[in-house]
Amino acid sequence: MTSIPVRDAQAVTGQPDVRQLPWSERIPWGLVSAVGLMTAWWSVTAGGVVAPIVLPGPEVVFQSFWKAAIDGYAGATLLGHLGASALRLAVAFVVTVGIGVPLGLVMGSSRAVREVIDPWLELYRPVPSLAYLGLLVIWLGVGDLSRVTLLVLGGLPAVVIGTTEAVGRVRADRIQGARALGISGFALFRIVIYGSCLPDILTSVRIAATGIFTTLVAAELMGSRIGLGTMLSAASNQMEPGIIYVVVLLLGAMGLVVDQALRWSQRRLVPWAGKF
Amino acid sequence: MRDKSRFAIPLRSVLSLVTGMVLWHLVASSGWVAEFELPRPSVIVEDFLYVAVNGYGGASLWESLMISAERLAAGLSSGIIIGVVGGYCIANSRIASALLDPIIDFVRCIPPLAILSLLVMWFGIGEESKIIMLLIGAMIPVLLATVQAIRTIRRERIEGARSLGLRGLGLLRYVILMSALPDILTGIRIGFGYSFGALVAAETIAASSGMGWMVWNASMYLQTSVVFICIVIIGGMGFLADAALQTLHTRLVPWARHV
Repeated sequence: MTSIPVRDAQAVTGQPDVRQLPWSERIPWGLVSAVGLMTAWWSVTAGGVVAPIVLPGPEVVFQSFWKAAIDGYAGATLLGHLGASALRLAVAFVVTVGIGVPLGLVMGSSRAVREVIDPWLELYRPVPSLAYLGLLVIWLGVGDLSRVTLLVLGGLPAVVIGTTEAVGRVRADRIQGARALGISGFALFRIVIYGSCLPDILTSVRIAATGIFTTLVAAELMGSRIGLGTMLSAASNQMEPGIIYVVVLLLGAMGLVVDQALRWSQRRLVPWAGKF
Repeated sequence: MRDKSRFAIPLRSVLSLVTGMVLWHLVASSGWVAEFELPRPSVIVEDFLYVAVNGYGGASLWESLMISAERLAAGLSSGIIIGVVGGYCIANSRIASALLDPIIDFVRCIPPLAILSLLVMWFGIGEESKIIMLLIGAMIPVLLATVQAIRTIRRERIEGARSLGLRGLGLLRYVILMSALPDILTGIRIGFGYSFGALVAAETIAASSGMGWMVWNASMYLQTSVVFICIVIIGGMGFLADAALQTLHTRLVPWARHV
């Protein structure tokens, strides 16, 4: 799941965006694209152009979906696998935010803390989280603890660095103004610093969710008994292309839902973002 | 703030690193943890020299490094080219944008290893499937950044250039490319991060060579010091590549705000 900070073309250039169709026309074109893709898929497979082992027809994928949903596959129903994956993601997300945001706030407000932690962060950050998998297995064994830790490692740098930088960007006059009005200590932190940083923090949380989500399949490939990644590796080993497509499509849909949900809650939680 | 600290390392950071290393050494030699759980820093240095001379798992360290670097270079370069060209087309055709946006939005949400399992069915377990996965990982951020960049070029700039007689390739080269380049370079940096992560993932799960394979293999044989060595090398690769892309950014587009 790739996150790029999206800018509204109109907000940047001050001109209505003539390079994009209005939504009323984009939606039918999107439908055309979806229907066209499905038709191409169906005709290619029904016409026997590609082997079913490479690309099974839509009806085969749907049957696999049905079979996995009702009878289950690789030891659990589809919903069971989905639930296990969602639970791991949720736990990792809560832990990442719970560690990352406070740490980032402290690092952003205290130069001493930042200078102590920064070198370690700089050592840990450029390494893709999968490279830590070996260490985690040695230290924590093969279990959900090391799986969730791997997910957390995939999301943590974005939150810590994003929050630290967000605190650094708080305008000095805003802090001085609040001080002049007699706000100090924790109240200053809560009302001014936290309030000013929240939009940027939520953006970094969204990027972290991306990092966590992309690590999911990898984390579940190692010795997990349940989860979408487990399903994927079982289907790869048993050469069941239908199931592979079901899982890939489901993961894409799941990522899309998570991404949209976070964007929506960002708009709801910080409606003032970018306004002043 | 972060950039300055890279050149002048604060005293506290040095002390923090030194203290950490001393603590590591003390804990590792205290006998509280087994040798395979946390080898002493000195052992890691010795093992590094050994692995550097003798190699690991039938390949020298340099060979493993180069295999990973080659995969990354192949995937990244093709991903950047397709991303920039595709992004240019999508940004300039409203219909292509409406047709392709939903597909790109969906594909960008699929974790790279899930894409790999599809690619393995299509292209087999050889190099192609890995390189195409890296290509996709790099392409999507570059494409999205290119589309954004071209769409947010101010119209006056293009109209001004037109009225001065610039058109065709000249317009593309001097106005559109130069305006979009800062964002495209940012997209390339993000794309590098994604495909680097995907590279390590693919080598861990589905390869018998390269740094990702080496780190996972070493951990299975409880060669913890080799695991640490690999992590440091992988981190060094990532750090150097990102620093190179940052330098490219400051050299190529010195007028853009440094991100």
